[in-house]
Amino acid sequence: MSGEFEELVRGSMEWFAGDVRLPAGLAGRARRHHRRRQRVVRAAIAAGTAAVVSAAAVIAATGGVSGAPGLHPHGGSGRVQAAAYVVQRAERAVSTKNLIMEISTPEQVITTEQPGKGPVRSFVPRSVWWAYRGRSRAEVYAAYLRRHGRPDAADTDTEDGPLGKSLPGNPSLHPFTQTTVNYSDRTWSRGTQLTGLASAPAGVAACELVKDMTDPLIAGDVFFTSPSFIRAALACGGLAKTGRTRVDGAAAIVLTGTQRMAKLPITLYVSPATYLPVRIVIGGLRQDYRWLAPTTANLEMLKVRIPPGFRRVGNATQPAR
Amino acid sequence: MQDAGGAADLERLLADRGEQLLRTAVLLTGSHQDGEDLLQAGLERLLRQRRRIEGSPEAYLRQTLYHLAADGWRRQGTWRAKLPLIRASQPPPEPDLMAAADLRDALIRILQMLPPQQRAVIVLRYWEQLTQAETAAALGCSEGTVKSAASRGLKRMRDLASPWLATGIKQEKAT
Repeated sequence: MSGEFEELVRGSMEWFAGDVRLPAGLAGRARRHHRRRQRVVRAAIAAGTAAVVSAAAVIAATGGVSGAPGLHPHGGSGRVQAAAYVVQRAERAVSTKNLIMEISTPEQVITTEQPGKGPVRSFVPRSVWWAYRGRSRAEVYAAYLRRHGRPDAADTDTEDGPLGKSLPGNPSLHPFTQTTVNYSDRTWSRGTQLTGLASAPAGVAACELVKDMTDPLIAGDVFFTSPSFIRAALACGGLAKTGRTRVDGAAAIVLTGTQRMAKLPITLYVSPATYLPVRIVIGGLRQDYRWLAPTTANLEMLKVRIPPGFRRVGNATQPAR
Repeated sequence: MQDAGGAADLERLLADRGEQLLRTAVLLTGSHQDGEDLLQAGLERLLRQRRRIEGSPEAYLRQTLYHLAADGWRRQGTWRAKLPLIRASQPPPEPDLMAAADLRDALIRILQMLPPQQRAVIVLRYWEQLTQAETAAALGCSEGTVKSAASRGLKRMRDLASPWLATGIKQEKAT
């Protein structure tokens, strides 16, 4: 038996169980179950039915241990378990890896069904967005908008600093510094903004966040999916593995969102090598991901550059976005 | 494990070794939920027997996990019926990065199809990295039994995984 195969078996076990965490309360559950069993056994002995209860208790104690699942290389029940692991791994990768997230959005038109309005077309400009540890920067190239009914749309480069402490008297609002360069009128501005989106809540609330952000009413305005949105979509538990494909020539696992979690269809593509998202399609809007190491050069992408000769305009604090 | 301090001892044992024990349980059962159930069942048995345990509670708990997993597995009695399905399987048509993930996935499911002793030996030897002697002590059998169970278990795994091995092993190295 070759050492290579043994190493493969060991690696597979690491892949399967290496990130398992002990849930809180396991010892407490065992103690409660043990005490309940003691009470039942005492009562059963008193009633002369100890043998029956004892047999039942043994089954209860080991009943959760299942046998082997079916094995099919391209589907079947065994894949369901793998799907849960893909989502879990993706969530973990997005949450714990120390990487700069880059989202590229190509020019595109999306059509959404809006209540009372029917199908509404939205023109999405090309943009690139970087996010890392609460800081972000977005470049928006608005030529596509100018060609489609928005002659005043500007090319902008915007840097958002990390969120500050919440406001006294309004814990949901957080200030942050925003610097924007407007290439169309050669101006720049810096000021304090307020946001109510500090972080994605966990559990059920995560699904609510995903639902809110996939509302057709705002779909045309939401150009950027933030790391917190991706984390919420994964944490919500509404993504199911539906197959495999290739994204820009590379293998990708396809995860599809259910109606329970989103008002618009969501398809997330993750790399089978890193489990990091490589593409998302929400209601027809496509965005591609790259994950960059936080090197000095890459961190520079989070900083806006103010070109010489640009004029500074307004810096007043503005209301929440 | 003393009666009066049973709860505290249990908490301490779980704090020190709980995660590793749970991972072992997950590998023995093939799923997170079943692994948690197995560990909880083992803990309950530890609580029941704590006055009679001589030596390390962890060693007792570990041995209990293997025995409970084997009991549950034997009761299912379905693995034999599933073997023909594996042999009839075909490898993925196109080698790519998915092949490595498929291979890992297949190996874990094949592990669940081994007889209990072979599965326990594979988990102890290649996951917990125990020596033959340590594995034999943990399972209460001879070193010769461990050696032959490991050899037979790995051979069976390799046979059953052959549809995936051709395409997956190359990609596994790459990842």
